[in-house]
Amino acid sequence: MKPNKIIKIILPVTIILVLFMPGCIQNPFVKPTTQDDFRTGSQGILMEFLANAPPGETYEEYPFQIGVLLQNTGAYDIKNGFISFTIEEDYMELMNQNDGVARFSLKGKSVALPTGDQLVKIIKAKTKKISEQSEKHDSTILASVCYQYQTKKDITVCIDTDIHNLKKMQKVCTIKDITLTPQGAPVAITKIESDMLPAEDDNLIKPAFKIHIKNVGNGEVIDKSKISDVCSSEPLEHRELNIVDIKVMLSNEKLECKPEPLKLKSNEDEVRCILEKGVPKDRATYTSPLTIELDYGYTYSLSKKVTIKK
Amino acid sequence: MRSIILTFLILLLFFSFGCTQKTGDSTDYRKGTQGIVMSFMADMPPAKMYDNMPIDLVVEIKNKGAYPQPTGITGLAIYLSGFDDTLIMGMPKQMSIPNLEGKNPYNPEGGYDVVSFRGNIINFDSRNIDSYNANFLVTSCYNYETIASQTVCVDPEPYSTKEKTKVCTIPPSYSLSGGQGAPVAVTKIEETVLSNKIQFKIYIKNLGDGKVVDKSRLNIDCPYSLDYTNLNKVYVSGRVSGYSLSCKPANPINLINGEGSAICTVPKPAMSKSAYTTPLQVKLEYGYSSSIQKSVEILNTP
Repeated sequence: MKPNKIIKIILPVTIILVLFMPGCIQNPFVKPTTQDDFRTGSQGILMEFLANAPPGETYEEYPFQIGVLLQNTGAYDIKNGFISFTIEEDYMELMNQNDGVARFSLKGKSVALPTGDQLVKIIKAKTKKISEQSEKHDSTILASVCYQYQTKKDITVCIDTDIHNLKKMQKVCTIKDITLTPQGAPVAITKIESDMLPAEDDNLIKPAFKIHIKNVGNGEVIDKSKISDVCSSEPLEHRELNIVDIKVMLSNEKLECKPEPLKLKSNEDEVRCILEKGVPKDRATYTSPLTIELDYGYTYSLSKKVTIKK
Repeated sequence: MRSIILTFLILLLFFSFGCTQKTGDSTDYRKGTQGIVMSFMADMPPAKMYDNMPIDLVVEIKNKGAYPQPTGITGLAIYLSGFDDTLIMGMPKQMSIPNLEGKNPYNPEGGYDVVSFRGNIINFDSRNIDSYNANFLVTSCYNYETIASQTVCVDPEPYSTKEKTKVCTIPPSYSLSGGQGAPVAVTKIEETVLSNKIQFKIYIKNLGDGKVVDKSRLNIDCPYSLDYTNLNKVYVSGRVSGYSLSCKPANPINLINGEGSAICTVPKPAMSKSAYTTPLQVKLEYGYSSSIQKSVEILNTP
């Protein structure tokens, strides 16, 4: 075959391929990003000490810096968080006594800010004289964050108005348990069990949901109204720990949840929510969004050892 | 030489059209197992949408069966369900299609219509919702009829030992395959000659992909209250040799696992008459319901 003949064949085939190929490839820009895409992971605030702030070793009566990097890796905006620094006052002192506790705000991950916001907090401190008999002293610096956070998940659930399959109409969905991965917050909804309960009125069914909740972060859940107390060394009562406020909506109807608020036992528990108003049985089976919001306080601490030499 | 061959080929091409057999008139429109067939129009709605915008659900409806003929009326109703109507508002839940003719010699493709359900997706921010998977179930409910014709042999004396030349003999059964242009079909007929009557056992089967509904309950129960009391009921009637069929059990016949049968009889002709062939026409009347479903993921506008 002559070269110009080959070109005559290959060229049209190439043009046709180029024209039709794009139809077979999925356009990567078509997939839209929503806030739900950022509700992943099991952390709220991530905190770490800055390198050499505080240093691993320092000398007595010597100034140094304590710095932490805070990053909101969850999907909720923190508006009024607290960061506190605790030092051994016999061996260290803050240059400015007001630096012990500071407020901060930090935006969470969103379409506009996909990585979540971060801030650096640096305070100045100074070592004191160590005892005459010691060559060195190991002192611990503790940084704690306390913040209000929210876990949110909305999921499409099936409202089956014919639980016993008496009606012979095709159903758009069936009731099933839904297992979930963490939602970009330290407290996670791990599982939702759906059930359609009979109502006193025989023409109604009551959608009911058992929602499993777990503390999947590395800190402690606290009462959201007590976050400033935790970071200011105020005493915290046992009943103020592990408290989670719950709000569950089925479409535009608020469900009644028990217990409310929920007190997590061993970092996990479950809550039962029901739509007391019921749904008419003569309606066809349908899907509806179940929106769960958990509001709580959260605290997390980090420590670093500093060796004070003579 | 080249021009002669070219002219010859062109002439051959022109004349070859005249040799093709015309098949249009001979199409058997009473064939097939479909009645009303629905399908979603492509991307109406698309698989993914955003909130706070109108949504159009467009359904194509074709009557691929042979009922009704141009003068008939189906009473076809389309119902929409499966989604949360507080999130997608204003969508009609029911639409009636007055007349959608079946396949016939003048319209071999059958009737065609398009219905559009338009609604509005609310602003998801007002409900604090990120996404919602809406399921749209479109269900049709309609009256339909099957007309099955089979040439049968009527022999008043099939067991006679007399030597007679007969134009036909009664076979063990008449098999009717491929349906009769309707979702419910007569699949087999067995003929038995009794002492004073001729008996036809008529086998009926739901060959479509939907449910057979009692036609008398169609407008009351379909589609939301269908249960065993109003499903799988077929009314059987027919004629042969000028006689109306007398069928047992009494109408409606109950289909079990989509199948049923009726035993119908007509008076036996006089013994003196010799065997002859005649058309047996069976009419089945019923309601029918089928559904199609489409999921749409609706996202909160970022």
